[in-house]
Amino acid sequence: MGTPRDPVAAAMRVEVARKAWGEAVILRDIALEIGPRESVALLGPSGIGKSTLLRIIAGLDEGFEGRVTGAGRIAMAFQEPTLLPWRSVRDNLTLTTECTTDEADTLLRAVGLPEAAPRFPNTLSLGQARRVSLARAFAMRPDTLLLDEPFASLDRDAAGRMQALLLDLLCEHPARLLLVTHDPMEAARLATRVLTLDGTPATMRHERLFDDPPATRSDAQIAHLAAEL
Amino acid sequence: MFRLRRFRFPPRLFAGRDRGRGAPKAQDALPLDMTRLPVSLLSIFAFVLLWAVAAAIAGAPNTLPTPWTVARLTLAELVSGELLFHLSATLARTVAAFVIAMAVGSAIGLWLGTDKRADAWGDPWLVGLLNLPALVTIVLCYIWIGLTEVAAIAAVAINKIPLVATQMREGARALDPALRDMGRVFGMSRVARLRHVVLPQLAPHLAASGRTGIALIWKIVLVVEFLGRSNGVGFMIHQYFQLFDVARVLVYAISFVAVMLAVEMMLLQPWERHATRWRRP
Repeated sequence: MGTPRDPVAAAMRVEVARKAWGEAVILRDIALEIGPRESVALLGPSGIGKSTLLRIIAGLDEGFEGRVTGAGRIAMAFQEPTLLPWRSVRDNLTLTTECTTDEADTLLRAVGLPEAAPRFPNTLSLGQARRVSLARAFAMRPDTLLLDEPFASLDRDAAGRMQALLLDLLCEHPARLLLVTHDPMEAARLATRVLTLDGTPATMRHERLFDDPPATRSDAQIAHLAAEL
Repeated sequence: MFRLRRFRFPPRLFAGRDRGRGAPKAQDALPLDMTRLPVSLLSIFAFVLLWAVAAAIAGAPNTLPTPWTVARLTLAELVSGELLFHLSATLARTVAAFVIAMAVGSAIGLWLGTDKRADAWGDPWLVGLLNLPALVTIVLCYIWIGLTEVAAIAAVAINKIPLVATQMREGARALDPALRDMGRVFGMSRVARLRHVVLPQLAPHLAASGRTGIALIWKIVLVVEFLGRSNGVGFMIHQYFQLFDVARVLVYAISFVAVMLAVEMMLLQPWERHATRWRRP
């Protein structure tokens, strides 16, 4: 993180030759390159090692054979919102990412929660907390945005609204997106490229490239693309 | 003696930036839990009444003086300035030992709670120190360091450090790994993570060890003063014990209990309420 580089030209490279938990090998021979403005969805069944791969890229797991380069500034939205419950929503953005109060308020407006700024996170619904978590990730002004099942356990409408919000935010604050999900609809809606992780140990099995930008897809197109995944 | 007014508003000192943003409720501003105050006062009155009855039945003013005798003597000691001088000497030692014990004990506890190797090595030491009698520490400190203020405060702190460390180790073991990961991914500095991620999670443990710490430390301070100091409440109790003046022993003992109760109610409890205000809906 933080090494000087040209953010537009650099691609993130991830090579994981082997990642094991004790005797059990989880990931093997994974090579991945993601361009600076690409949106990649990582599909695969639960427990296959998607989150492990994401943690490796995030720098949270250093016990693997391989390397990650060119990720730049990283921000992440976790499966749970993971907010600091003892700090106000606004402070959750400013203290974690060192953004200014104005930037925090702008982002909270962008995610539709301007009035939540002075409140404590435990006064928010799960959907609202997830949106704050997303705002926090963008407050980091990331080169690489890692999302780990960020719409899990939201109802269909709430998840749909949040996905639209994510696309809006990505238009305004372009970043490389790596989204971990088990839902093909999510992948079809948000990604320019879809990778599938499968097998034991898990390797990259399929790769699907979409030509059109995600923001322009209609519901019918999304359903069609999802059916192919 | 103790100026209540000075301590009326400490929560505002702790209030921080959130208050201006309207997050906490108004009740947080109260330093005392007013709903319980009448019962507390009544309870104290009942104790004094019980004491008066016991003194009347005993009829031995040298062994068990009446509450008003003690009250009269307290006033006399207060006017002469003696009481305040010795109270402040003991309070200063208590505060110094408390701050050192909390800081060192918390650091050790945090280290042992987050590092398994260190815990394996440190645990036997901790168990040993926990079982070391206060009297032994005091005597050894006086012999090794000399009859000095440093020895007195060190002896008290050494007694308390293992207790704080044990309590904070429990807290450190229960730290939320998800929040730790979040702090790391977002590149928060070590200081910021300690202040905003770790310490708030340890606040209940800090409050608990702070409370037991105050209760324990001032009692050990009295023993330290009893054995090797020439001022303080412990020293005065020593003096009046030799004169068999029970009334004045009670004057000093009760006065210091009152000071410690005031510290608990006006500093510790409001801080605890402030630190846990986010839990309230």
